[in-house]
Order: sequence, then structure tokens, then C-alpha cells
Amino acid sequence: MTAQFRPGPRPRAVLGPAALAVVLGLALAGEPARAADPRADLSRLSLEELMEVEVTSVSKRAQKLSEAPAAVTVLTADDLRRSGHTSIPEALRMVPGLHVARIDANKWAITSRGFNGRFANKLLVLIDGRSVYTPLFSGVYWSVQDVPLEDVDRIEVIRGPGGTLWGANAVNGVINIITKPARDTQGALLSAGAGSHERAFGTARWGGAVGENLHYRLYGRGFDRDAFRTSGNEEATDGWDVLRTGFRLDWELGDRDTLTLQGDAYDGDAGQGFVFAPGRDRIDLRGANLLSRWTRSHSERSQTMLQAYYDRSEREEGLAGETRDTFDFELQHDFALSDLHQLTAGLNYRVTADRIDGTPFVGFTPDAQTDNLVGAFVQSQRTLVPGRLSATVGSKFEYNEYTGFEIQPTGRLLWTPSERHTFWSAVSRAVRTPSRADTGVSLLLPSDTPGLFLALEGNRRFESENLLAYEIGYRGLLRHNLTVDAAAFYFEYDDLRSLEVTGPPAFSAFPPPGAFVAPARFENRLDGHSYGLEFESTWQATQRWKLSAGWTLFKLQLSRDLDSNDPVAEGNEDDSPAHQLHLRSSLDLPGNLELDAAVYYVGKIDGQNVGSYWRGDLRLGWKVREDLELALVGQNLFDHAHPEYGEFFAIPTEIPRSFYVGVTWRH
Amino acid sequence: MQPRGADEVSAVRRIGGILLLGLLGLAALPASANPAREYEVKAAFLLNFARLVHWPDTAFTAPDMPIRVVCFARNPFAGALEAILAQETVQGRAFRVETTQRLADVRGAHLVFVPADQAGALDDLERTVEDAPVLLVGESEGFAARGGVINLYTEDGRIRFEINRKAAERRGLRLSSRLLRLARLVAEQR
Repeated sequence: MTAQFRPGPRPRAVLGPAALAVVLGLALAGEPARAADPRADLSRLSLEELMEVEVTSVSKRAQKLSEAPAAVTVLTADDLRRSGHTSIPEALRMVPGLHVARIDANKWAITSRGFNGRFANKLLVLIDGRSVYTPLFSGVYWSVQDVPLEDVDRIEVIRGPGGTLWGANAVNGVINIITKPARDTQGALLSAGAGSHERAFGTARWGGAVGENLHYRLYGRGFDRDAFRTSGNEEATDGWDVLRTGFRLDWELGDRDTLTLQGDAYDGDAGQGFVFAPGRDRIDLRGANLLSRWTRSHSERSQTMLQAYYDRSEREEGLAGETRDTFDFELQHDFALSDLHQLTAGLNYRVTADRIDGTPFVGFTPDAQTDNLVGAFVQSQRTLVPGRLSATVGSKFEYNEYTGFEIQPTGRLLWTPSERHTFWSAVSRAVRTPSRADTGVSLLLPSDTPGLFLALEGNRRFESENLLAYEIGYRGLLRHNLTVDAAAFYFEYDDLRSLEVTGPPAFSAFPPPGAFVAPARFENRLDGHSYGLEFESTWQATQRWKLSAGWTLFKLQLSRDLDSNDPVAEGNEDDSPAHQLHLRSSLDLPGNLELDAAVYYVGKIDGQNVGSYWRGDLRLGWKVREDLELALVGQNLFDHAHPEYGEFFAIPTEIPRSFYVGVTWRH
Repeated sequence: MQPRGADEVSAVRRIGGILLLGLLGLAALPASANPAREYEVKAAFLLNFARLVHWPDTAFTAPDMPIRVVCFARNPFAGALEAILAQETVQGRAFRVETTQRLADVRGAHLVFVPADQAGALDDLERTVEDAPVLLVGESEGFAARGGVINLYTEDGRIRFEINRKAAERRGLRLSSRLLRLARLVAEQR
């Protein structure tokens, strides 16, 4: 298993990008040339001679998981297939350290190491190197983050700060969703299914080749998902459907160069219940993206990557509409200073332009804005004792238009006393730079007291939130069939966002029929610390039976500055469960049958008034023929329905027991 | 895209400038020599395995039938395997290299290479080929012990291999004593 512990794109941009590019260009040109390695014709070597040939590792960028000095979990294509999950956010339930809560049929609250919410803002998510978080609130609209799951190669989840490589907003974690190269998805694939919540879904994909070096695939995909029910057992209005199409083309130009071009477009319609008005509030979802990436391998230890993408997203709902265009450019270069010293450096630029159509409930000032972001990073990985001890140090230098320069350094140590045991530790700083919401939102917020509202305003002088993170971890292969992975962390935050009431409530005719409204504003008057443990183990009990288990312990404490009157801060401490568990079993039965079971436990979330729950999933798969597979899946089997999260504005619904049958045909 | 203000126009100009500079920077890169690549060496290992393993006669239907080498699910050799095997013959047989992710296509192969990230497919592969004379070569810990025949591993930056003799015998593959002498022998654990 390999984990790409490497930079993806990093957020927004500005002044001096050209100057930085020049500097980087010079740095690249100055790369020391290495002495030519006389290459023997390997086919003439005897086995004995071959065994004396020294080789370098596969690729700098694709580090072995056991060599990554960070808390990393990888979900493989097989994990996804056998889980029975039909979407990316649902599949993330399998990752310890993450908290996945479904708010309604089309909304999720997902975070790493605390601070959860629909607008959770400390997690960076990338699909094939394209950042999918919105600078509107520094969070992710999970409903539109979808790819054909059959084409996913792996999902890498890095818990803890990744700011040094990925830049601002990779505060508590980074999720990399990586699809297979087109070469690995040749031929036809049709998959379809139907069930109780999944009313209908299907994917069609075709992969072909032109000559030996150009491979491509095209896909179309769609689903129609039924509405859930509210806590009052009424039919909700959160049913949704999305159609999506896309392509990927990989072209190997000679031995050294690879060119990738890929894109997707989607169009969908989701519903939600709205606390201010009855009926179905329709959410229009539309978007498209186009990405190109050029990679040149200079040698096994040196390569250059140039990537550019354009992303358009449109989301319109009753309260507000957002249209956003993002252009992102990234250049990265890896090279070896010596056999024991590897350097990675990169440069990125992003411009994002939005237009927001507000309502008296939610608005933004200004209602259209263009933000630029420029960043550069350098990271050095030095072997201190060959095969035993290595150190990584690096930093990101980033300029954004809200807070100016931000520096995000990290220092990491990796100790491998033997091939079977790995210990790592890290100290890092990460920041969350201000979002559009922090600086320019106008929001009418219902309070706990009926008839009392807060008129919340963004703050142009909002500062970055800061994290200083201490982490340690262990990975071990205890027996040939038993692995364990454990990570512990202590995080110190300061300048976290607080909500300050700035005046007494006054009677206002809006919202109708009239209410008391108090003014409030975002400030950075909250500090806090969190700690936790994440444990994961996989046991291949027999050739046909695999078990895996995970446990997450998490605790967050927040404290207000003396000048803060934030009325909700303490409640935010309890927006994530203190304990989570999961146990998954994959069993191969005679007759080409697969039986998969999973049990999840999520502790109570006092901040959202949600009790603890157990969830059970079952999947029975049958490989009828080599090219035909059937699956019968039951999800959430332990109860009729339960809530997983609260929410304001949109009405939360309950996650019901559900079933579906699916069929997949490959040729 | 709808037309936007001057902001966006200037942003686009800046992007153009950066792309250009980035490309100039790339053009200035010196071409550097390749050290021995892991998969080039591994390809040479596969050639040697083919020379030192004797397949039963039933594995070939014709005297000049080529040796079918299959990379399962993906080919990590980046052309090196094809390049090394193209000019070679073993006992008058040429090589044919294929990549497939379909289990059915693996039937009738003589040598199957299972890349590290496909090690999970070993059970499926074993079930597909049953005890047919297929040399299963992997590159992940425990591959041989779980029923693979040969597993490549790296030690001190050099490539080594381990052999599961039982798996070879079960498949009717005869391994030369030279091959066995150089290998680390592992017991089957299933």
C-alpha cells in the first residue's frame, strides 16, 4: 500500500506571483547535475549479479504508507466495493479519527479531530489534486463531491495538519480522493441498482486506447435518492438526484513525460426543509471542472509536476445562491541533493471569483469578490541513520488578501527500529485563513430563546485561526497477518472564531411577524486545546476472512478571552463525539459469495442534542460470472431511524434503515 | 462563464504570466541521468526466473508457444519488462507480455506478476488458476507465505527474493537448485 504524501493544490492569490515564479524558475535551473550512472544492460546480468544492483525506491512522491511520518489511513478500491457505501462521504465512516454525521439525505457534517458542523472548516479535500472546499466558508459541500466509486483507486486520509504541503485550511486533516489511471479502467462497465433510499442509481463507463500510450475513459453516472423522515416521523423534502459525466485521458509521451487531462460536469436538484417557511426548498446544484497535469520524471528521485485546473460551481437555494469560478496553477519539483537528502519545492497560485445572491436572512458584503492567493513551499527529507532514522522539515509561505503572509512550518521524525515497526512524531503549525463568511457575511441567526435573533456580521479585520500541533504515532506489523496503527495528538489553538454580541436586542419588524434582534459580530476571541487517540488494526484471520477495527477518542476544551461574551462557545466543545468505534468483517464464502458486515458506534453529541447510536451494515456479494457481480446491501440495520446531527435553518432528518440491490457488469 | 469586472481580466493576465515563467523554468532543467530503476531490475529478475523455472510440458500446447507473462491489474514496469523480454527466448520460446485486470484472462498464463498494491487479489488469483502451472510472482510482504511462488523484496537497497517451495510443487513447477540457493525459503501459512 502506498500513500501519496505529497502536495496537492493549495488555496487563493496576489501581488508578486511573478516574482516568486522567477525565483522558483532560477532555483530549478540551478539543480545540480548528477554524474551519469553507467547503466549495464540488465538482461545480461546473472541472478547473482542482479542481487548486487542497488536500486532506489519506486518514487519519492508515492511513499510507502509505513514510511509516512503522519497519521494516514488509506481506503482501497476493495474496501469501497465491499463496504456497500454508495457515496464518498458515507465511505469516510470507515476512517478512524474522522467524524461523519449525515444531517439529512443530501448534507453531511464531516471533520477530522473536532469542530464538526455542516460548515466545518478545518478539513481540506482534494479530488485528483483539485481542491473542492469552498472559500465561502472554508468547508465542503459534500453533496456534489462524487466520482464513480468503481474508478476510485484509493482515498488517503491524513489526520492532523498538512499546511506545510497543502497550505492554509489543511488544519486538522487532508482527504485525497485519487482515481485510477485510464490504463487501469479499460473496457466497459455498467453498474445499476435500486432500493428503498437509493431509488435508482447507475454508472456507465467506457475505457479505450489509441495506440499503446494514450488511454482514456468516459463515464456517465446518476442517482435518485429518496427523502428521509423528520424526527416527528413526517415525510421530509430532502430527496435529491444528480446526473454527472466526465472523462480522463492519460498520455505517456516517451519514457519521461505523462500528460493527464480530465474533467467532470454535474447537474442536480436537492431539497430541504426550511425552518422559516413550509414546503420544499429546492437546491440547484451545477458545476464543471477541467484539469490538466504534466509530469516529467528526470530520474527515480527527481520529477517535476505542472498542474492547472478550472472549476466552476453553482449552488442556489432559498436562502442564498453562490456562483464561483476558480483557476488554480501549481508547480512542484522533487529532487535529491544526495543519496540521503531529498528536497521537494513548489509554487502555487489561485484566483477565485464569486457572486452571491443574498436574501434578508443571509447576505454577503461585497456580493461579488475576487480573491488571489500565492504560495510557495519547501520540504527537506534527510536520512540521519540509513534505514533507521529520518527527519523532515519544511514550511509553507503563503500570501492571502485578508491576513497577508502566513507561515506554516513542520518538523517530523521517523524512526524504524526494524522493518516491522515504525514510530513517528511531529510538531506543526497550521492556520485557517479567513473565509468569505468570516469577513463579509450578514446572517440572521435564530437563538435558543424563541422570538430572539442575532444579526451576525462578518468582520473585515478577522484574523487567521492558529494551530500548534504535537503528534506521535506507531505503525507495526505484529505478525504477517496483523497490523496496528496508533496515533495520539495534542493540539493548541488560538484566535479561534468567536461570536460576540455587540449590543442589546431591539424590536425589529423583520423577520415577520416581528422579533427582538441583537447585533453580533465574528471575532477571534476563543482559545482551546484538544487531545485524542486513534487506533486501527487489521487482522487477516484466515485466507478468506479479514477483520478490521478502529477506535477514536477525542476531547476538546475551549476558553473565551476575558473580553469575549460568546454565548455559544462552550456548546461547540461538544459538537464531536468523545468515542467512536468500528468493526468490519470481510468473509469469502464458497460459491463465489462474499459476506461483509460492519458495526459502527458513535458516542453522543451533546452540542447537537444527538444521542449515541450503533449502526450495522451487511452486504452479500455474489460473483455470478467473471464479468458479473450482484450485491444485496442492508444499511443502518439496528434501528428504524436515528438522527446523526442537528442543524440550523435546514431541518435535520433521521437516517433510516435501508436496502438496495446492485449489479455490476464488466467487459 | 459570465463576463466579470476588471479584477478577473487582470487575474487572467497574471495567470498567463506565471504559466509562461513556469514553463521557462522547466525548459532550463538539465536532463539528468537515471540511476538503476527498481522495476528495470525487477524485470531482469523475471527473465531470470523464467530461465530457472521448468514448466511441465502440459503448460504449452506447441513447441514454439510463447511464454505468457501477465501483469495483474497494472503494469508497473513502464515498458522495461517488454523491452527486456523482447529479444530473449528461453528454450526456443519467445515472451508475450500482457496486462489485464480480468481474472479470466489470467488462465493459461505462465508467469503472473502481482504488483504490491494488488496483493489483495492473490486469493482470487489462486482460486482462478487453481493448481495450474502458473508462476505467481509478487512484491509484498507475506506474498509467498500466502500461496504465491516467488516474492521480491528489498533489503539494504538491493532486491532479494523468497520462495514458497510447496506452492511451486503444487503447481508442478520445477525450480532449479541455483534459484533455490539464492532465495530465502519461506513456509506456507494459510
